[in-house]
Amino acid sequence: MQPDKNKLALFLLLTPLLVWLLLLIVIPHLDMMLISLQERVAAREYRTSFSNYIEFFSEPLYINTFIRTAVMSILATLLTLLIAFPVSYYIAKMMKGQSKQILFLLCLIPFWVSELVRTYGWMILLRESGVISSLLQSLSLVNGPIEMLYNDVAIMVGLIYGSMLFMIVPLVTTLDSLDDSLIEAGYDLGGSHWNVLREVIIPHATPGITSGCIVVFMLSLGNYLTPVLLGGKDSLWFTEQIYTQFITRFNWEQGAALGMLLLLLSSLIVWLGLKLSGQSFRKVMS
Amino acid sequence: MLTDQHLIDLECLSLSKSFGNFIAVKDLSFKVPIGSFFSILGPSGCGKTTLLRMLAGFETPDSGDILIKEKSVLQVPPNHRPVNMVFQHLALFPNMSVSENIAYGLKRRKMSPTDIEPRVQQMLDRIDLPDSGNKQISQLSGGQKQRIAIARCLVLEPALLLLDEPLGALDLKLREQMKIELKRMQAQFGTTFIYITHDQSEALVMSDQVAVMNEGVFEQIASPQELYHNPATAFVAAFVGDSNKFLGTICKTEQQGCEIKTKLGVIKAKNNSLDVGEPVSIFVRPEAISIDLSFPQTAEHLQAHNHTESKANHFKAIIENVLFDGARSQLIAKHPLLDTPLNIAYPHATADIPFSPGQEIDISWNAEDTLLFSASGALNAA
Amino acid sequence: MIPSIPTSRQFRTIYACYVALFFVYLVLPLAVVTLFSFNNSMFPSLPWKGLTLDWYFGTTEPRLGVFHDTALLSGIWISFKIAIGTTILSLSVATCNAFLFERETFFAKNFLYVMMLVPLVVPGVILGVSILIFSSNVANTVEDLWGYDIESLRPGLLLVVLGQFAFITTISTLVISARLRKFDLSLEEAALNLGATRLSAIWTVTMPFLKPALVGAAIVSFLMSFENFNTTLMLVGSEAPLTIAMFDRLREGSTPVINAVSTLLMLASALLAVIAIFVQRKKPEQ
Repeated sequence: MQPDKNKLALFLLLTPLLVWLLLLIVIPHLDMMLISLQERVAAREYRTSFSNYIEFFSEPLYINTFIRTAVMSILATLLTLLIAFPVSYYIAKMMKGQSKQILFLLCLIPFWVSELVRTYGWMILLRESGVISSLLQSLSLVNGPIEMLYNDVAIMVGLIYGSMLFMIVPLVTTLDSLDDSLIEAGYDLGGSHWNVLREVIIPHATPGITSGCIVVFMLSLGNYLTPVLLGGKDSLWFTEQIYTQFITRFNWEQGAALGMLLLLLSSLIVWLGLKLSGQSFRKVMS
Repeated sequence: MLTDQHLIDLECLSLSKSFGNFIAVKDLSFKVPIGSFFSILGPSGCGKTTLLRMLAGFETPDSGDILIKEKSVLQVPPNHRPVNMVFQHLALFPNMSVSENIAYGLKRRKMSPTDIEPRVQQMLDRIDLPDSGNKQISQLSGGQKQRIAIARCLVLEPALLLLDEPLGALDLKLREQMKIELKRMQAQFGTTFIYITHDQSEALVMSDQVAVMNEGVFEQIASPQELYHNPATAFVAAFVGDSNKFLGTICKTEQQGCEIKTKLGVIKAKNNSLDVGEPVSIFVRPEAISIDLSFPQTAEHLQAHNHTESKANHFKAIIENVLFDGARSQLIAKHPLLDTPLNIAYPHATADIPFSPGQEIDISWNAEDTLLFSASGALNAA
Repeated sequence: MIPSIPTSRQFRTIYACYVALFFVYLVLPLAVVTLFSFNNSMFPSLPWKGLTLDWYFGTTEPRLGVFHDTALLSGIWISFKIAIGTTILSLSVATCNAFLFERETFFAKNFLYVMMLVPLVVPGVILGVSILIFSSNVANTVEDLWGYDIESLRPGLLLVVLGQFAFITTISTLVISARLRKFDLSLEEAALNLGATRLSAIWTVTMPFLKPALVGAAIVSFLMSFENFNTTLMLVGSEAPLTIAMFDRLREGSTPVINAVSTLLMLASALLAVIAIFVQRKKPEQ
């Protein structure tokens, strides 16, 4: 190939990428940052200031919601990992051949279904007139109907359920690539169950754990549906605040500032996660 | 066989294991004397891996018992057996350094770090890798990994070291080196090695004793020399070393041996335990066959020809191909009455005579070089 | 803890029960959603009042079935249009990206690759908001300067498509790249050697090889678009796609017609999943 033709090919391939990244990712986020630094002085008149950020730090509702969202998301991530790891391990290492494939596919099925439908399923199960409440009543375990919806546990259940796939898939993939003989070698040299898990299995699964945790954390942090539907009015999720500022109050400057803070928080925690596990973003995401 | 109980490291009693309908190991009993290099040689699927994994504790036998140092280990889980294993692909922990790999087992014994360190270093010295402790596994060469995998086990001073075809992944040259290296390490440490392989050369070169395994049973346990020269069964004769195989029936028996009728003609053997009319398989090693050129017929060669007359079996054949491979060169010869060609070791003594395809040769071998086995199942050594 | 390591029977039983329980947890919400779509009751809750197909085929209020509910049907149609647009757009750009990152070497390749991954870790709500801000800014500027209002840059279908495209492209790129990486370049060289031009070599040899990944990426893109909520919520105009329409109904409280829609969605997803698996399985042997 002539160098000119190669240049042309490179140019043609590079253009869509650059257009996509610049117009839909980079510039919009820069724009959001600029807007967040504006303060409305009068109608259609703005000046640059940090007032939106100052507002965030002086309003306890914002800060509390922010911290609450972060803590709940981290908790949801850890719980998802805790629940998913034994299941992934079972699929990857205890099962063989066809049944392994089937079990793995079975894990994926719920996630071909919309998040909305899944959340709706939990509403039917958990609400006052819901399945679990009726079941407990008919078994005479409780006296009146009980409301299990609209609390933090319900939010947590929904978040964990919705994120499960993104934990299971990377975990099964990395655990599957662990050679059985490494586990056997661990035992052969005198290791106990706990020991082999800690020194052989978990180090091998670290890339999968990291990428699973990052994705689950991002999904929880940015989730809107689950807290709104399962948490009700008092769910106090940060994305709701952003939605309120943009759509209900039409205060875009404040909304943009909140958006920037959420972005900052997520970047920070992803960065911390990568640092702690010694992984690279590139390796973890692909 | 040694019978003194104190000198036995491993004893298996009627060991059996099957997977569904497939019988992997069938009622196997044997003993391995202390400090020996014991190989189990067999084709893939013969049950040798299952046997090894039962010794390590990764498979549970259906019946029978395994005694290590005279104690049954059936109830002992793999992490507490006095047995360590070198895995086929070595299974070195990639997330640990060389030292950490060697220290792994010692740490599991709750040994203090101050005691572990000198032992790891001592082990590194003994395997000639004194400065590799801080290296990562990925920085090692194939041969070095091999040595670390063995060192990782030997540092625990196990009663038995199990080796699961560890040389299979290496290239030919390195494999030759590692054979010698392994034999040297075994002699140096004095640990009993149980080595499984499908490569006869590995088994013959390194072992004190070789068990030839087929379809879940041992066909023969013997020293490499014994195995080669006096195979107990047709399977051993065919599997260990190269040979030319003929089928035939006994046509005459006498005091000194018997005569067998084959496609090639009548073949004489020293064996006299078979009856007339019995179908047999005959094996002749390529190097047992000697050659005399028919042309040109100089006086000198005629003399040699007369010499071959004195051997019990002699036939004419035509060279089909010359396979030059240094010391292992072979001649492929045809006989009009045979479907398969004959393998004959290249006669290096007559290296001055060029062999070429199409040439007619006289071949001959002694009656005692005819390995004879009843084809109806009974075992009969030549 | 692999089958070759002896463990107590008790441990194995507990472990298997745990995994079984996990699968119950996975299936339960979806099962109740489906089940209550056949309940002959005005509310998707117990008690069970017998079977009905009204929620699918009912023709009159209040028992309006999904096949006669014009609002839901139009939601499906809008979602379908959006999903088709997003899929075509993201697949085209993703294919270019795959060739770019797998075949070309250029300045700042690593940096751009990481940038390409970034949309995965931006919360959907933020992505939607930033695009909303940017497009409104452009539209406002144009209106201020030339007095012309670009309708399509206001919240609506185009913005929804762009918003979904912005992050779905990353996923498609990863799927296609993974397959392209396995392609043996010598096949393309052989085609060139046999007289093909570079483009026809790619078209006749490389693209057929990529087909399973392209189909897989298309299905994943379509589903992700169809089911997307977070980004869509911020960019939606007067035409509500299905997820938004369902969300509004859920908040108001709805008849089991929602269950019927959900069940149909599950069926469609399952069908697509089966196609995807089938296509991936029947990989032509290079």
